[in-house]
Amino acid sequence: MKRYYYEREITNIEKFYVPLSKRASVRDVVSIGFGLFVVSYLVVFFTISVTNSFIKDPMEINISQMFLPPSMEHLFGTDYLGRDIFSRIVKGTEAFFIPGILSISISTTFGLLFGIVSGYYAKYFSKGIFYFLNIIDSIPRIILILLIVVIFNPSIYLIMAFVGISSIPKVSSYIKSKVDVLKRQRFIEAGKSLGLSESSLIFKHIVWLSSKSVLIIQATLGLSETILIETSLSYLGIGVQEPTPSWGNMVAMGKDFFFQGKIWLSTIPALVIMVTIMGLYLLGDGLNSIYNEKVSR
Amino acid sequence: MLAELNELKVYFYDQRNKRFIRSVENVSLGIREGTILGVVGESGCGKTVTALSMMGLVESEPGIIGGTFFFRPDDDDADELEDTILRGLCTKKNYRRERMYNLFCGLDDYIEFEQSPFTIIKDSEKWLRRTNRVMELIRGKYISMIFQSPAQSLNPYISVGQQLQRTIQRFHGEMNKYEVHGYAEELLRSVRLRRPDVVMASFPSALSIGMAQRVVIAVALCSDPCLLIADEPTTGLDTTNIHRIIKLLEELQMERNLALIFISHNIRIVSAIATDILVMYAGIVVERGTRAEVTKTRRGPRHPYTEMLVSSVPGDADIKRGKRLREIPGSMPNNKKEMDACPFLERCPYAKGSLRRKCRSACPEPVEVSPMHFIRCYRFYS
Repeated sequence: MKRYYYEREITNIEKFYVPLSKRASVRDVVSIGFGLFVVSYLVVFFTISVTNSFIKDPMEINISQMFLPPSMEHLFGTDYLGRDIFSRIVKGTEAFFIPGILSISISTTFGLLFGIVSGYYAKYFSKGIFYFLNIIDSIPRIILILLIVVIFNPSIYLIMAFVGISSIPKVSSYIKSKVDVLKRQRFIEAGKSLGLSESSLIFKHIVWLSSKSVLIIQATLGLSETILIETSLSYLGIGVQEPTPSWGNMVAMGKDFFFQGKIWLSTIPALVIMVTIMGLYLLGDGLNSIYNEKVSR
Repeated sequence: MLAELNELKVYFYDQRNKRFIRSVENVSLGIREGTILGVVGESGCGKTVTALSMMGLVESEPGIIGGTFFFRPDDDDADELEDTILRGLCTKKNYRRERMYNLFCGLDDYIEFEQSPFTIIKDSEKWLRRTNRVMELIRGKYISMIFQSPAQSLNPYISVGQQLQRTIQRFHGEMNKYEVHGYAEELLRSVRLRRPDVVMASFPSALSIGMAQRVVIAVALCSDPCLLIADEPTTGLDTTNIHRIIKLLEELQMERNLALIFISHNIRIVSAIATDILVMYAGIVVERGTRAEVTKTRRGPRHPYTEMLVSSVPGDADIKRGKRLREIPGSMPNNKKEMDACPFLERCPYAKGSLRRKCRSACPEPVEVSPMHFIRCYRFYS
């Protein structure tokens, strides 16, 4: 058998590397940049609130500083008990960050599992799994959550776990349709003829290399969805309870003072929610278009 | 002999109509190192199924019904292969002949069938699952395959260079990444791609079909296989590219001393490259011989089907003379019935009078008209 030895540097790979700016349109770059900004401030807020540094105590009540408008000292102003709204917003990330990740990981892991099994071994498992998933899908999400709140304590972790479970059918039907198409493709047969094992074909070629984009997009959309659900539940008073700060219950508390001219109490948390969700959606959208661009180039 | 396929039988089960469909019946072929075997026949005559069953890629149950496939691996890997065969298939009989190993061994433990009426008592699905472990050692490493549609044989989601390098890393684990990259470039140069760096950086959708075919050939050659099966590598290519790909395959075969099985439905293309030709019709081999015997001689004995195949493709002289091409009348016989007559009977111009009666009685056995030249036709029975 011949052996080939090359000591040369790999230069031409770099020469033909297409920079991001050429691969993606301005719109994609802007939306991904915005999305990354959102993700980075979420991560920073979460670390700050976990380590309890750099910010004023979000629980500290100071009656003498009620309803202060935004200033240098209180970046987003203070609320009706004199608590700093900025530090409450920072602290509010704790309410959905870990539960949201829990929900995403439940939905993607089980969605992936069911999707692969029912897509690749469609003959044996497809009908059974999708019968089961359709049952889950047919229960309205908000009623499911209300039921859980009634039966158990309104713990945000439990609620988010059930949100994750209720979005399994969506993810797995995406993955199933992807696997269904891909497993018939010639390149899977070609890989088989090169001696690849079934597991490496499934996990490497079908899931990782080809369905990665679907998974990432589902994960970002799932995170924004969990934020929406958490905030809306807290707004309704079922989710995170006062005095633990959450973006939803801050809006709910502030709405009483809106028509007294103290609009920052509810508007600022609402704006933060809006910007965050928009950023996550745009991130998913931009990533989607970049992945498709790369393949069809 | 590098590989020897004996009495291959492949039947598929038609779920809807509850009957068996004959795909390939009693196909035998042998191939030596450094030779090119051309397999020719119209579509649906079992060329691709033969190739796929040699790779163990026949999926639908029951699939392979009978036969033996002897293959000679390198001495280094023979022990491992023997071990896997003994462990995986738990059979001690009929797995070895000198240095050749039977990759279809243990098949008769998992399958039982009656010839007439054709019924299967045990099916081969379990065997197909078990034999996968044996075939994983063989596939890619010793036998590589090029498929019909080159553009679809490449994963559209990763770049060509990455696919090639991953495959190289799979078979040459000891190489570092510079060596792998160099080897990949070397391979792309050896399939006559002029700018390997550009090709490696691009995605499969950016390649033309000829380029994609060359890349597929390069991927198939990564592991230095001994046997390359090219399953209609020229479909979808334009005429100049067909010529180039055939030249390329011929040159690569000379350079690497490959054994090549070249499958096509065009007998001119096959006769341009092959040293031996196998003509298949309705799942059986109707003629087997060297290229000269099968295609060139005008007066020598040939099967009527081969004769008609040759006359249905224009040669240079025919085009100059403005000769009308002859088509083969009729269509393939029903492969759901048992073969109780010569399958070519209805389309055969020679089957007249007393010969026709003979043709209708049973399917003819192959006759050796000259050394190593077999024809299945009653005309040459002496």
